[in-house]
Amino acid sequence: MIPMFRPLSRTKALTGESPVWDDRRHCVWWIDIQGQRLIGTTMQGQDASDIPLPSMPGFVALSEDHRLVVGLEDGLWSIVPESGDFRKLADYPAVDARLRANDGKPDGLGNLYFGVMDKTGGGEPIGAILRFNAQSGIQTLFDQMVTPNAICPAPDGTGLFFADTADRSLAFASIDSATGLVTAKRTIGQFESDELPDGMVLDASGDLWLAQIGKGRVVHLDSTGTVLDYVETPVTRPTMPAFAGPELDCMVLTSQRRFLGIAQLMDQPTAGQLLVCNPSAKGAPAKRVRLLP
Amino acid sequence: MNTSVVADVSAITGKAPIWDDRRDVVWWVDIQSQRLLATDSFGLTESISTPSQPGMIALAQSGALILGLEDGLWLYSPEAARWAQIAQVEADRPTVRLNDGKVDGFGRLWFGSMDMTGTGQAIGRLYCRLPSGEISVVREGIKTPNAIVPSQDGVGIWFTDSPTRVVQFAAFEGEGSVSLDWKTIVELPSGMTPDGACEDGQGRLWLSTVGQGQVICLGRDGSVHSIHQLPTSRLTMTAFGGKDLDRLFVTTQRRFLGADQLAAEPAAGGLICLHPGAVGTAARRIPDL
Repeated sequence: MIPMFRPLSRTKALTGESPVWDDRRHCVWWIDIQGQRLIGTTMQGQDASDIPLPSMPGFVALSEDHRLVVGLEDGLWSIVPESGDFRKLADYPAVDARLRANDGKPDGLGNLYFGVMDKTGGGEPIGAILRFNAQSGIQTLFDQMVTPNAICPAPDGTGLFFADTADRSLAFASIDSATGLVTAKRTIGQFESDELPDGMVLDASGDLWLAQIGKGRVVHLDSTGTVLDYVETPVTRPTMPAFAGPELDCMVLTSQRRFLGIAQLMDQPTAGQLLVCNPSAKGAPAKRVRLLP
Repeated sequence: MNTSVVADVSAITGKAPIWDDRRDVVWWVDIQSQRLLATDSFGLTESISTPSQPGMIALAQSGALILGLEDGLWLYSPEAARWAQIAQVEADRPTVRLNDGKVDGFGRLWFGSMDMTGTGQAIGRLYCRLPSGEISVVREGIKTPNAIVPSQDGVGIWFTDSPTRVVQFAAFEGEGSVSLDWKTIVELPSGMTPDGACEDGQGRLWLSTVGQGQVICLGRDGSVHSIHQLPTSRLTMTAFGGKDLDRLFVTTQRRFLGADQLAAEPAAGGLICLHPGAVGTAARRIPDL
């Protein structure tokens, strides 16, 4: 059976990003970057939560102590969606008003890997990939990046998949799980000019599912970067897939309606909505950020 | 005063409310979220995606809407869901978008443009579009054009470049001339920034202000007739509406509010309605294109 994406949310984001299944609250959390909001959508398609954020978010992740962690323009914040309690966790190492967060996920040890990037649209290489550890704070793994994306830590904390959308490469870095230091890096994928790598998720077997923005599809690769197959989508600008649902057997996908002209908006009425399909693989539970040392 | 949030959609920057007396809705926009919104008398709000950031709405005789987007003026026909660009304005300057505007008694559309990088460049302009479609630059070197309100009596036009906190008025020299001689009406105190506005039927300006959540009713002589406190601090534009044009709709902004302010101002980003004790007039329409 060919998986077919259909709309799940009612909300139509300008730039939807960073879906993650919350198995305790039974919803998919995702963000609208320019819309400055955090949305919680159930698998029945209800946008049960819609939380305004004080600046543009770049990702949302789950924490071990049931909070949500969002990267905003000025640092990492935690949110308790039930009470609306917002709390700042950390500033970014470089204080630069041009930065916002982009893309991020934790490993299985509670470390959070995330990107920061130029938000002005100028495309300056002032971005970086950072690692947050509750004890040691934030350290920089890679700098001089334009658009860090596809950030997927290996569950055991010994490696990191990531892309810089600007040069269309997918890389894997080996990491010392104790210190966070990068010990090796190799390119495992190089994409065509219309196959820009955006958000990515690992499935339960360790395969990679990567949204190709512009190309309108999700590419399924093995962990060495070999393309296995593709899932087509009804939008040209998909941004990130995630496995969702109680059995983690659904795939949800965020998308972008930003940069679409009138004809494209008419042709892609679901652009910006959270989409869902039944894929050929299952996911693993989302890892959680450790916030308390 | 009786104030209610009629559309609780937490817009980033709500703007450009206009009462459509044929459809009985308030049209307005959410600039950074690229949405055209229609709120009806039941408080139901429909959301329509726009292809870039909208900053201005006017009505045409035909019933269509005219929107100012990043790259110029667009015609939108709601029932057909059809868009057509009618003029390129600022299409050659990608960091500029259109902001604020209204139609005068000659069928001319006055509207502004501004820097959208957030760095406050004084590169904005005030434009005038004649019914013939000809568009001319009226004024340059503007940071944030707002309160572009042609007067009900046809005498002239209001204007503010928001960061200056100065509200101005210029008399028209007739239908054929768009050259204007600006006079200062009032300078607002620091901490209060003038934003969008409309006139009531008596020619008083209902000016929304950013900072302390007040709508100020001003006479053309600079006298303050009344001050209306709203439940959120950043007000962006006013419009009279309702069947009897006796309600004042006010758009608001949640952009730039921190986490504490967002929690303290749940109305931020909503469309607010109040009974101002004054009556407006129907929005003027642009003659058929």
